[in-house]
Amino acid sequence: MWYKEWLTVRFKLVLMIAVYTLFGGALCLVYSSRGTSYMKLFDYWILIGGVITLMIGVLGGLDTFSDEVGKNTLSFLLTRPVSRRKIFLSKVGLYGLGMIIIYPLISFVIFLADHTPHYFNNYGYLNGNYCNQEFLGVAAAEMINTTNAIIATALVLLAGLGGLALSTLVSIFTRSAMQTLTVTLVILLPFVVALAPAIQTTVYSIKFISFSNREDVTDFLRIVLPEMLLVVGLYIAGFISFKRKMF
Amino acid sequence: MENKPQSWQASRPVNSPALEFPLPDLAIHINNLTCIYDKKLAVEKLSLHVPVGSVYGFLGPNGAGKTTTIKTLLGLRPLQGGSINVLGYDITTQSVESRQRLGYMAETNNLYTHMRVSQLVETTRRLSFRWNSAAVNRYLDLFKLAHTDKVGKLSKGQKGQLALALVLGSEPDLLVLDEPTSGLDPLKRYEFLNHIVREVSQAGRTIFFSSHNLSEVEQIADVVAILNEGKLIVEDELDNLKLHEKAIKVAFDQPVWNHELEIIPGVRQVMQEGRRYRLLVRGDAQAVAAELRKMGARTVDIVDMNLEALFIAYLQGYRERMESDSPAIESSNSRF
Repeated sequence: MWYKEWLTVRFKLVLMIAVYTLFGGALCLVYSSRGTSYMKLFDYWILIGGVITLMIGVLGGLDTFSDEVGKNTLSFLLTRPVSRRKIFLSKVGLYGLGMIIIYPLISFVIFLADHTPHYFNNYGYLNGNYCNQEFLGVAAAEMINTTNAIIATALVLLAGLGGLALSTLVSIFTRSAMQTLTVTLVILLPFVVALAPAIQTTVYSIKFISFSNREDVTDFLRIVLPEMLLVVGLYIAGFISFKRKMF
Repeated sequence: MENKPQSWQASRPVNSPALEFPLPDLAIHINNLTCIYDKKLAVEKLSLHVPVGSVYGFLGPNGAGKTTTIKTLLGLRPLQGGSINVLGYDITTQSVESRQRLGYMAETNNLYTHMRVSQLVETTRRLSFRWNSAAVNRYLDLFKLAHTDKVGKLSKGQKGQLALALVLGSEPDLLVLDEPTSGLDPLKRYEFLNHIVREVSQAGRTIFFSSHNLSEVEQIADVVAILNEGKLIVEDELDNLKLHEKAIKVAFDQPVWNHELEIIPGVRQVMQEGRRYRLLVRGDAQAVAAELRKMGARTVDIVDMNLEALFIAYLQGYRERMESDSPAIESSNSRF
């Protein structure tokens, strides 16, 4: 199963790397040409890259099943001695794994670039105050930024995986990638609009959270866990739908 | 095999002439299958018995429920009633096991067109329970299919040949074919059937196939089943049908009522063709002919029926029974 999916997914993965690299590179170039900014390079990466990651997730799942249903190739798979669980896992697993590896890796590179002294601005936050990192001391600033970066990266990654899970779920019931995209966007847009205030609050709480009150693990779980549960729920819904659906 | 199926002989129609079938086990045993498709009853209380090693022709007009039955058999559609046993495995509880030794070729081509032949072969190998690389390569050479060919660029006939090579590569004990030769030219159809018969049926494997082409069914099938409106009209060995089903063309000098002919034992159907009658007879045609002569028949000709004639006769008989509001066929066996 993995071999068959690899033949399909490898092009998508190359495209994913290209999009992230081009976007990350362009962001670094634009950012480095500016002076001191209120927002750091990594902030831009998280905000704009977050939207891109969500779309990469959604686009990755568009043809997961709909393409096979539309081209009538799903019967080729379903009549082989392979369980539907394996088929589902291989279909979402390979692309999802690609996202899990590629996005944090490039995030890490951006994060390092953001911390290159005298290249980008070297301002950070401490107790909600905007301070020079040299004043804060490198160790303290690193801790704040590293924790924030991990939480923000996890949130964005989960959004991307959630997009993948949602479009995969929708693709079980459609017959083309375009149909899947339309239905997914119809579902996703009101959802994003409704959740926008909550996302803003979350981003604010990550950025301005007091260093002295920070409990790293607790914060991580408090902020990331609900989204993680939502994404896992979407995958379970997709799996159950695929298992029960008759093609 | 688990859940060893009952013997073919035991499942014979009650009043059918007792013909011996050499292979006792059933490759497919469908029992009282009921399926709903698009909110309509597509298959109703269907029972089929496919003997191991047989070539089983599954026939019926468009919309008869053949593809629904096949898809249900493969686990692609749900069954609303009854049970299906494939190679000893219940498809609802042992779905993966039942597909381990089963090969399927679809009516419409279901190959991945974006792959190259070698990639599709490798994909199929990895998805198969058994694999015979030598056989696949031999077929690819025979059909002149290069490993580097793009599947999407192959002609319909070549795709059919590739699908055949792939399905034979997994060495299935049961081969399910849904209209396998539709769209092929006569030469390709002949070659296809030739390979199927040689490779599969001679190896003692079972072929279950549906087709509209009755001449090709007649060419290779041992057993046939005719389905109409989701109900089984007849299931029997082809030779048995031909042996016991005859047409009698009869002409009388004096007018005769249809019902006078219908009550003759063995007469299943009476069709008036001008001043002549065409009687479909099951059983002893000579006895019926003698009875007709006693009634004053001027000419009596006993005619052998080919599968097409049998098919039409069974369907017409079924439809006439339905139109005349006679009780519906309760099961495949009730006519015998």
